[in-house]
Order: sequence, then structure tokens, then C-alpha cells
Amino acid sequence: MDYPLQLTVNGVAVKRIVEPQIRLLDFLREDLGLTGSKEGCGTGDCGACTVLIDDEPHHSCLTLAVEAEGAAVTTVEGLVTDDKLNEVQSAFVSAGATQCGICTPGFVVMATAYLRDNPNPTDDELRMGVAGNLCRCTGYDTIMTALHSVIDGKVELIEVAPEPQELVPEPEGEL
Amino acid sequence: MRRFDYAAPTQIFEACALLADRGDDARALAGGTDLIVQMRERGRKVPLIVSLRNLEGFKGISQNADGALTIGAMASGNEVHHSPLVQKHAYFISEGAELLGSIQIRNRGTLGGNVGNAAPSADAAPPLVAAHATASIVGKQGTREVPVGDLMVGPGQLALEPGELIQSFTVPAQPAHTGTRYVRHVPRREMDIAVVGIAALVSLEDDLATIKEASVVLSAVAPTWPHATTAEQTLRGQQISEKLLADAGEAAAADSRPISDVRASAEYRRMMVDVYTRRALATAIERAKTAV
Amino acid sequence: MAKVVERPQEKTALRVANKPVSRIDGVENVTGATKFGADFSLPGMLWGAILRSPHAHARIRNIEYAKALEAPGVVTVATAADFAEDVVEPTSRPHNVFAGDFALFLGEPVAAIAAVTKEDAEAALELIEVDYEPLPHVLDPEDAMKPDAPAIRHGDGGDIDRTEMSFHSSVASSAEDLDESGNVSSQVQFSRGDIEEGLAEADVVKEGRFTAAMVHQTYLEPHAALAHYTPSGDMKMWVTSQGQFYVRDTVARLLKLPAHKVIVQGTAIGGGFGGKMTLLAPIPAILSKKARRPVKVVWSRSEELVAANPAPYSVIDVKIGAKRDGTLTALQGRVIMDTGAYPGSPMSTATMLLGSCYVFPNMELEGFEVLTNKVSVGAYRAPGAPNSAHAVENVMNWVAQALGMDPVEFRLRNAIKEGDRWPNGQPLPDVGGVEVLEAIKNHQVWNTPLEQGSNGKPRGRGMAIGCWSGGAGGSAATIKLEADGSFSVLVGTINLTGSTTSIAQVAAEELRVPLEYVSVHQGDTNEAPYGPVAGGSQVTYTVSLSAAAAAHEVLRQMKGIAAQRLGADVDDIEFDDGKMWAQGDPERYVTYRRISDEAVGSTNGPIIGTGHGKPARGNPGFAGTIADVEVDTETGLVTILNLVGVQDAGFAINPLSVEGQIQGGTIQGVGYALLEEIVYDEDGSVRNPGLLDYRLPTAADVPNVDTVIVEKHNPYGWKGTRIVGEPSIVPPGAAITSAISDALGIPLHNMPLTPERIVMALRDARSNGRSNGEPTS
Repeated sequence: MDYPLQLTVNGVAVKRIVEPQIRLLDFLREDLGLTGSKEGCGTGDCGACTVLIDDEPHHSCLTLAVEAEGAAVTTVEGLVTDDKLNEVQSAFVSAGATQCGICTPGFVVMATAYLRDNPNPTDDELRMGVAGNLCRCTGYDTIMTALHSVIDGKVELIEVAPEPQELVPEPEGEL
Repeated sequence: MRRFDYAAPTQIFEACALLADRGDDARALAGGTDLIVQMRERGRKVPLIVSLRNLEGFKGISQNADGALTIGAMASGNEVHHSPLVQKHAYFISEGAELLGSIQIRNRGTLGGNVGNAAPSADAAPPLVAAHATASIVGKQGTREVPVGDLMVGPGQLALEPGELIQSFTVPAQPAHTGTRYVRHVPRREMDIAVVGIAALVSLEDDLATIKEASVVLSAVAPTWPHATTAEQTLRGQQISEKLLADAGEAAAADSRPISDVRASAEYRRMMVDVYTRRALATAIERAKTAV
Repeated sequence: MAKVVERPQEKTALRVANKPVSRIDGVENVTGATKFGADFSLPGMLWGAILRSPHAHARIRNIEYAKALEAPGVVTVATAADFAEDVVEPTSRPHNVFAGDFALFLGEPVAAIAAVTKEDAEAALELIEVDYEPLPHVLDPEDAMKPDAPAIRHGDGGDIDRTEMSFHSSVASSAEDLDESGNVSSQVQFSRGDIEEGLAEADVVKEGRFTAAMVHQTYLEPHAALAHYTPSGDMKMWVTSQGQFYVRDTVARLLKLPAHKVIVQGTAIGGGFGGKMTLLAPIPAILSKKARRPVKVVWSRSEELVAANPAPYSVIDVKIGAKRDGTLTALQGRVIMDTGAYPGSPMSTATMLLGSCYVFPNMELEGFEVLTNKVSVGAYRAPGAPNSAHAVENVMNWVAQALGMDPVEFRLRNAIKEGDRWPNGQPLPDVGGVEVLEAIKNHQVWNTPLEQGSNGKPRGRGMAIGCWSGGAGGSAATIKLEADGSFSVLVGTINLTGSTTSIAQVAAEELRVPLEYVSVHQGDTNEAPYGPVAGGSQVTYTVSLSAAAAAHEVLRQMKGIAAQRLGADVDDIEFDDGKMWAQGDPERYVTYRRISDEAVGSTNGPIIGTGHGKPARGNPGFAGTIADVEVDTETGLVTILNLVGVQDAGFAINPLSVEGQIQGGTIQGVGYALLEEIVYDEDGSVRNPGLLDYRLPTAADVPNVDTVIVEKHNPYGWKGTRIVGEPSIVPPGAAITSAISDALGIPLHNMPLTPERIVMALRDARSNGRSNGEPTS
């Protein structure tokens, strides 16, 4: 059976017909082509599929698309504003907090929401706060470094696709 | 996941009627953090999903005139965890809710779902049982109140008729000098299922040295969420001492009926019931001493 | 942050190498733009689903799938019958895509369906009728070695395929493949001196029997592959795998296609750690070939945990003898490694590594690779080495304790050095074992006594070292000078560990341009030069050589043009910052951009260079761990207070990346030590096929890893580089279990040390009256 679905995704209104067994994760990835959200487990145990639903972090793998009716969904693709990575994204790049990158989208979505709600956590609170996001590559070390740099307000926002600089000027005259 | 039909009625009677008509073929969907996993990973076939998301009267947390607390079944784990009302009223309900998976799980998973899923290892249900909470059950016949402790009859099984839904929980006002604690044993600090969980509620006499009333409820060590009745008897009316807590721990271990599974052996579980009962009681007593 | 132990060498002239650099793919990763295996789709694409054996061991009498073909959305079904008999190696898991006459483990693929939707494919699996005759099965390797155990192999075994293990270790293996009598599929022995004499002359002898659980690599991206068999007969594939050429060769062989018609694009890979090779790719390939449509298959996490290729369970006996002055006299060891239903385990490596870190004048090592009816094992970051180190390093600590010696001093006295021989007789090049031990000895944590806490929970400290031989495959790289003086590098290796960034650093360093002027592209198997599997920590080790060679070739061509332009001799051309000049006259220069312009218009044509590289030999990497722990003796819960990871990287091309590898490997070692274990039920099913009960460490379970990069020059690597990826996972399991043992005062023999195992070991020790006594064994 097909159901009409209306929601906004990254600020854009979306209208589609979906079958009820389609999870929000499938809908984002297959119907909208937003493959930034990943499926690491499908059971809510790894956090790679984390998206914001009405500003709160949820597992898109445990959410039926039809249950997101009327919601505002933000995926990792929606975190960039004015051609700049957000603080958490920028900090991840600078600190080397992304290795293979598969956990990164869910991790930055989760950490963005967590630090918005808890701007000044202790290291232990921070670790508990993001414990639902597994990373197999980094051992979390550089991720913690990145998130602490956000907490300490030491992040320089990184520009997406910056203009390249000229390497070396041509010498005057003909050689 | 297998195809299924889906309805998200706005009227309670409509939801109840759909569930009653389809019987075993239908399941109510609250947060879905358990149900979706069962359907996807364990091939559970549910031809009809009835979503509770549009129903009125299933949400919110409020205090009643008589001092009791009402928590909507659709209140999310995070709402329950962070609620100042819940924390003031019965802190261990907040503690239990905090242990439902990660923040993401707690945003989806609901208190009603944790009870309704009827897993012996539930973390949010045992504090409700220990606090003598009742559940408001709605059905085609109207509403009835059932003690949460009587709701679960076995793993995955509730004492509900087809078409009945848990609408809310009511937690009675606690006496003066009452402290609570929910603690569980897991190998990791987050993202785990209780190997053993202990919900403890202790009310002290005015001397703050004598136990007036104690409620100890076990998680993951029996087919349901039973009171450790021998442990409770051991505590009632007694002076607080290390030995008393040790005796209560041993009694609770004897009260438990654990099984061996992939998470732990029955033998280890019984040992942990002893340890964590002692620890839960110690914290609950400390809290009782400072409670108003 | 890493403390880099500087080696006395001129590094100031370096431009971007040896400097911490953020990954050049970082921005793509944090925006979700990076495309992994499951992220590729094609118009008209079908979805595949796999039917798996519900029995641990069964004869397959018949498979009937007519009903499935009639189901909604179903386009085709594939089984073992779709592969020619002569391409199937009975003893090779990668070449047994589907179970043939026998299913050898629960979860082994039996058939696959391609359908219009995932739901259609999954629903139709039930309609395939398989007639199984269940057979007796055996799950424990020691049971499987008994004479009356059920035989796991049926009929002629043929040669055992050890291709995958060879990627990870360049060390020669003398494992002997056994005939079909019994379930021991291979056996190895190493001996030196006289073991009985060695033990007799020892003043202290300690021994123990150690088990390490079957653990899963648990890359967070499950296997995924998309195949499109085009009307012209090309098999185009997008696969998440550590080796795109290995996937190509496997698919070409299985489907009897010419190699150049199988065009594999390795996608971004969401972790592999040795476990992501060719298990899945042939399935969408055969489905697509039958359906003549694109087919995608993505595994679920439970398929991963039940039916991928985890790291093996092992039982290892170790006995070590030493004289009173701390000189080692003897090592006796016996490895039983559970390889699962197919051979190919790292048994011989694990056996040899027992004697890899120290000089033992007398040695007797034997290893047995044993078949069971469990999923066959594969490689996981330094395969077999954590199991070996767990056994040897714990016993080494017991011996040190019995001798009253500092464990680091004890090791330094016996540490293996250049010219010493490994158990296989191979003399070692200049390894960094001593330097790693020195770094531990000088570390602040090691020099700060561990104080007992105020909460009554005992604390303990453990240390261990370990090493890994690594791979040293051949590779090629191509570099082009682009129109504006920038460069593009083309490689065929997978960017598993950030190697792309390191390769860019190598090219930028050799070409003397900023990193932003170099891009690295991983081409598909038809466009890119050959590169080895990203395993054995070898990609940066070998591609740094080929990229440097390609850069030298490009520079040679560029210098020719510059010399002409400047009227100078080619040999006098100097270069930096994107310009070339004649020696002594840097003001008069020609830019790379101008050289590019000139080259395009010249008779020689545009500038492009290909370089070939292969390290002259592998050179083992050593790593060490210090662990401080606190144990709740009532519950068995362990808190790690300090974790120090030391590793010799030879020359850290990108210290940020090296540090990340040390941290990641060390925390995977925490998983080995405390949490991870695939648990089997008696029927051969996995009892914890999800990430709830297969427990990876979360951020809340681990401390920061204090890393130290040691740089002991390796003459065979680019500027002294050696392998990096794997060694860090070798010692942490040993160090952490040893620290727990130290805290509790009892010997411990199992990994993982779950809370339950700790509590039960304490209880057993108490009932034996050994609590808080000296570890004995």
C-alpha cells in the first residue's frame, strides 16, 4: 500500500508516495539520493544513520519514512551553510577525526546536536553523549580532540571548495 | 523488511478497533526501536502497523492534584530522563530512562514502548514497578488501571486484551524520606542491554536510620520484573547497617531466577544481583537521607 | 598529541613529508559526499539477496527455485550450478561462492536472488526449496582434532588457496598442507637448538595455555557491490574492497571473462582491516550476468557477523625459560588455530611470531590449522599476531616477575636485532624493537609509579610489545604535469588508511610544490596502473616508492625542457616551488606552468611519467603498549586508566595519519582484550549477530591513547618509511590482560577478559587459595 508523505529535508519541501516499510534512511538514500546517511547496523547500535528530526538526533534506520510525516529532517548534507563547514565538521577535518569516513556523517550530525544542547560538557559527559556513535578506525582520540576544540571555541571554519591560489607568478619577460 | 500495512489514526477508539480486529496480525508502533529491529533482523511478520503518533492523550508528563505523577506512554526516553518532575518525584525512573540505548534511541524509544515490549531486561519498567506505578489501559471497553507489576506475564507477553493500549503511567506520591536508585550491570557503559538491573526504593523513618519500607525490583534475572520479596522483607523495619545490605543482597540473589544466555551465565547473574542490590540500596538510602 | 622521537637526521629541508597533514578527503567525508560501496546505483538496477544454509553441516541433495522465479519482482536466481566446475577450488572460500554438494557452516551462501526491490528479493528467498541432509558437525577445534570427529572436507581437497594470507605477510611460510585425513588442514614446525636442554638450563620456567576469541573486523561499512554486465560483455563493478585488482581477478576467473573485460572501481571503503576482499563481489556479478541488468547486493550487519571472515579463535600453549641473569634459554609453543570451514587462517604466521621479538637459543614451535563447521576466518589487522602476543607477552611478564626484573629491562636484554633470525631462519633487517622498548622505558607513564586508588579497587600495570612483518608488494603510479603546473597522480590502490594523503605528500615533496598542487586519483582496474591489495600495511610502503619514481621520471622530462629553455645543462637544473632554474641563477627561472605549455606543443608531447616500486624486502614494524587498569573485583568491570601506544614508523610521512593508526589499532586491541567475541550456539549459529551484543568499544569505554612515534630508519622504504597500519594492534591485548593480572595478583589466560571471566577467575583463585599471590601457572 502506498502512502503520501510530505516533509522538509534540509530545508526543501518534499512530497512523495512511499510504501510504509520504507525506512527514513532508505527514503533519504534511495528516493532522494542523499547517500550521506549510512547504514552500519540497521538496529540502532552504531549511529551511522543519525539525522535530525525536528532538530533532535534520531536513527533514520529505526524510523519509518511515514513516521516522519510533517517533520523537518536535516542530514549531514544539510550542515553546510554559506559554503562553510559547520564547527564540528571543520574540527573533524582539522583534527584528523575522520579516517575511513563511514561513521563520520552520523557522528558529526550527532555531535552537532549534542554540543548545541550541551555546550560545555566534561570529557566524560561528552564521551557518554556520543557513545551511540561507533567508530572503528580512530579509537575516538582525534574525534574527542575535534569536539574539545569546538567546546573551547578554537575552530576555524573551513570553506568548501575554496578558490585555488596561484602557485608562482610567471617571470617578467621571455626566458 | 517485509511489506506491511500502516495506519496512524487520530482517535483512540479507531486505533483500538484496528488492533482488536486484526489481533495477532497487528502491532502498535510507539518509537519502533524494538519493533523495527524485530521485524527487520528477526523476520517478525506484522501485517499491520498501527502508529500511535497521532493519538491525543498519550504524551506529556504532569503532576496531579494528589501529588501523583502521570507520564504519557509516548513520552520519549529523553523526555522522561530530563524531566525535573520525574527526577524530583522518583529519581530512578529518570535513571532507568537514561539507560535506554543512546541519545538517538532515547529520542525515539518511549516509556510505553519499553514496558510494552515486555523484555525481561527492560531498564525503564522496573523503577515503575518498584514505585508501585499503575498503567492506564485504554480499549474498546473503556479505561482500566493495572499495576505495572501485574502487566508483564512473560517475555514479550503483557496481560492485555487485543486492542488494548497503554496510555499512561501514574506514579503515586512517595512518602517523606524516600530515596530511589536504578542501577544495572553491563560490560560497556552505554549501548548495552542489562545483564542485571536493580530498581530500589527505600523510605526511612524520621530517625533516618530505620527502614520503613523497601521495594526492590529485578531486571534481566527472571521472566518478568519481579519484586525481590525476601530482600524486601529482610529490610523492612530494620536498622541500616552494612550487614543488613549484605543480607538483602544475598536474599535478592536467592529471589532471582536468572537464565544463562549470550550475555551472562545464570550463576554470574545471581552474583551480580547480590552486588548491585547492595549498591542500589546504599545509594537509595543516601538519597532518602537527604530527601525532603 | 604524539611525541615524535626524532632520529638524528636532516629533516629541515622537507617540504610536506614528515609533517602532520589533514586528510585531503576530509571535507568530502564530513559532508557525506564520499561515495562508499552501497552509495552507487544505476538505472534499471536490481537488488540481490542471499539464501544461507540453516545448518552447520549438511549435504545439499537438491535446490528447486522455480517458485521463486515466479514471485513478484524476481528476475533471476543463481546457485553453485552457475559456476563452471573447473573454477571452483574445494578448499578456497573465495572460489566457493555458493555451497555446492555440501554446506560447511551455518550461514554459507546457497543461492541468491535478483529482484526489482530489496523486499521482493528477500521475500522470495523463502520460496527456494533446498533439500538438506543434516550431517554431524563439530565447532571446537580441539574436538575436531580427535580421531572420531566428523570429517569436514568431502572428497578431493586439491591445493589450498593461501592467496589472501600472502597479501598480509611477506614472510615465507613453510606450512605443510595435509591430505584429507582428519580435520587438521595444515601444520607447521619451527625448531632451533635443543628445547630440553634449554629448559633444563633455565632457572625460571613459566608457562600457560591461552585462548583468544573469534573476533570480527567490524568495519562499520558492511560488504556492498554493484555489478553491471553490459551488452558488450563488459562486467563493470563498483565494489568496496581492499583490493580492486584482486576482485577483478577473482571475478574474471569465476565467470571465465578476460581480465580487461572486468572493470572494477574500488569505491571509498568504510574500513576493512583485512576482512574486506572478494567475499561478496562474485554474487552480484553472476546475478547481473544472468539478468543482463545491474545488480546491487548490500550485506546486513548480521550477515557480516554470521558469514563474513572473522579473525580466528586460537588455543596457544607457551613455555618460556630464562636464567637468573635474565637471559632467555628456551621457548616452547603450540598453536591450535580454528580456521572454520575453509583453510586459509594465519596459523603459521601466528606460530612463527611466538618467537619473533626475542632471541631464544632453543626453540620448539608447532602449529595446527584445524577445520570446524564455523564460518571460515580471514585476515584482521596483523592476522594471528594479537593471539601470539597475548600468550608470549603474558608469560614474559611472569618470567620477569619471577626473576625480580623490570619487564622492560628483561625484554631489552633479549630483544631481537638486525641479523638475528626469526623462527623460519630468515635474518632480520634493522628492526626497531629495541627503540620501541627504549621509548617505553623513557615514557612518563612507565616512570610514574601506579598508585592504588582510594576506592578500594585494585590497580595494575602491564606492558607488552609485538611486531608484524607486513607486505611488500609491487606497485606502479603515474603522474601527469597539468596545464597550470599542478600534478595529478593516478594509482590503483585503495585509500584504506589515508594513503592517498601520504602519496600526495610524497609526490609534492619530490616535485617541490605545495600539497594543494597535487591530486591523487584512484582509477578503475582498466585505467589505473596495478596496485597491490591494501593489506599487510603495504600501500604507503610500496606506493611511496612508485610515486617517487614517477615523480623522478616527470622531473627528468621537465628538466629537459627547462634546460633547453634556460640554455643550461640538464644536470645543472634545480627546482623548487613550481619553478626550475640553472644552478647558481635562481632569479632566472621557468615555471612548471610554462614547462607544461611547452611540452604540450613539443614533439615529445605532454609530460607524463610512470614509476614502479617494490620495497626490496619487508621490514617488520614493532609496537609496544603500556596499560594501567583498575578492576572492580565484585563485578569484574575494568577501567583503563592509561594507555600508551608506541610504534616504530621508520619515517612518518604523515605523523597525523600514523598517530591515528596507532590510536585506532590500540583501541581495537581494547576490544580484543575486554569486549569482543563471536559466540556460537551448539547448533553452529552465532548467538550475537548484531552490534548490541557484539560489543565494540564506544567512546565512553576507552581513554585517550598517548602515542609515541619512533622513527628507526628503514633502508628499503622511501626516506626510511616502514609499514604502519598493523603493528599497533598486536601488543594491547597482551598489555591490558597483563595489567588486569597484575591488579588481581592471579594469572589470566583468556581474551576477552569479560567481567564474568574476571569474577570467575577470582573466585577460582580464592577457592584454590591463590588470591593476591604471585602469578603462577
